[in-house]
Amino acid sequence: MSSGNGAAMRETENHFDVVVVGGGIAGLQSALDLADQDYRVLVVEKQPSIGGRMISLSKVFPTLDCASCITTPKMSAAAHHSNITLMTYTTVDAIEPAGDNHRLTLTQMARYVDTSACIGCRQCEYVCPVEYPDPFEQGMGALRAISVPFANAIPQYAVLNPEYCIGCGACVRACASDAIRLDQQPKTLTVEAGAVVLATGFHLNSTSLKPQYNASRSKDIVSPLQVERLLAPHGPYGRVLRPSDGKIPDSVAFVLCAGSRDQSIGVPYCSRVCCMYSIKQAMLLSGALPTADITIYYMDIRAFGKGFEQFYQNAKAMGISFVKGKVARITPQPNGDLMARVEAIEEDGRVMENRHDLVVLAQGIVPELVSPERLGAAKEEDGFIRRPDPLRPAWTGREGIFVAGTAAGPKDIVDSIMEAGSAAMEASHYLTQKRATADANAPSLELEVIGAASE
Amino acid sequence: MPAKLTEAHRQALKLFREQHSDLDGTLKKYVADFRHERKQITEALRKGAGTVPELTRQTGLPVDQVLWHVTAMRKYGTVQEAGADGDYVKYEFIEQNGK
Repeated sequence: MSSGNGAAMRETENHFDVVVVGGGIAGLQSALDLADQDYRVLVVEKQPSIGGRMISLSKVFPTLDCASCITTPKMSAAAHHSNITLMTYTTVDAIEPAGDNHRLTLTQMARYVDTSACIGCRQCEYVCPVEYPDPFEQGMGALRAISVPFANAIPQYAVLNPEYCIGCGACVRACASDAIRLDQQPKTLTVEAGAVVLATGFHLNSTSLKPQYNASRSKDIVSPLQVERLLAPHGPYGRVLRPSDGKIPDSVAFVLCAGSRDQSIGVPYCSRVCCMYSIKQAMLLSGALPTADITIYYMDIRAFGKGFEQFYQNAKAMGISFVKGKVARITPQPNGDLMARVEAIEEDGRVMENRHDLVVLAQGIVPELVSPERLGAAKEEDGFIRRPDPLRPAWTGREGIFVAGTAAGPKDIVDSIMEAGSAAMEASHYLTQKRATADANAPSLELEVIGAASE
Repeated sequence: MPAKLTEAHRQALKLFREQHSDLDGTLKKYVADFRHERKQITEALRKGAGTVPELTRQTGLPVDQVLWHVTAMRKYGTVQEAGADGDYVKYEFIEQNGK
């Protein structure tokens, strides 16, 4: 497409053809697809780095590709694209109609670092005297009060957490490029966009929703995102250890449907990815802990995607034990062990009590964005963004506002990327139509010349 | 290094401390505990390599906190793994140059 395609819509510095809300894999794919068509795109991400959930994963199913190895090039491509502007550590507070366009109110949070001067050398981090539980490591590792968020964060700028900063000034003294700005304040700004793609992602519901699993009583009843970090090459412990006391686990259990397909906790739907990521994690754990027993307690295995069934069969062949049965209760023992009480459906319904070192609860996927109404969209009964037209699954039903990825419902990475492409195509089509209408309504040069001659 | 603070830095620090004044002392207590625990674990490790349960017995700190500190020190380069003892990894202190 010619370089002039998006240019017609470039009115001011604060005007973008498209604003993508969320810099995870879906948002980045939409942004890249649009930017490659020469639209000017702003990506707004609330975390200090782009990459979303995917950058924190160990490997992906069913190919077992390294997740960060395939996410980092996308992050880098977006960061270096001449048509993409990134705004990290920035929230979108409101999206309202503004004539033909959308007006977005953004809040850029204070990093306490001048990003035009920071070179990501981490000297500030090395001298900082306070450490706190690292959110990127799901609380298991440590992060200093000022630090680059994680090793392959993009952009590589330090960010200071004022909750843990004691204001000692060590970072200010250590910074060779004088980039620390302790007087920085949050900034509110408005931008205009021709179209919007909402790619606000998901989070997992709490492990404490089911009191019978006693997650609040043991650090070894963990979330699958914790397991992703335990399995990651640069994870918090550098190997798989149980978080309560550092024991190398010799028995790990997965409890599927531990936070979804359950009316009692308000998540009646299937989270779609738990079966497969649990199988993947079980396979990776059996590699990391060759002598450990690994058990998956399941209701049914939903291996519906391409290559999924073979992946499941491979896991069984590797010796991972699949037990059909719902876990009734998990009870922490005084010595730290976890006893799982299970009805083994395929063994005449007998009740088993099994000992494990580590239990993973496959939690439900819930939308990160609580009030899509604020961002110009509506939500379904399940809380995910509404898509009223089954033949246009990337459209929110609102003029010029599209949706991609898990913001619209639980899905895997491949489906998120496909939907991101679809949302980009919808946005591109919408902008082209809008421009064609604007061109048709504009007085043509020929008419003006005739008009001038007739005077 | 360390470089001197300019007047602008001092003003910024002053404003930061005013805006984040830790009125209820939560941060002060967190940092005091953090330093105390880190010091105890460092002292225990200086006596020799140990597993998390061993360091827990020596320091009397909660076992999950000992794991957190030891692996944090590993991340920032003052501790390294030194084999295993049964089901637990042994950690050893890395003496820094001149310290």
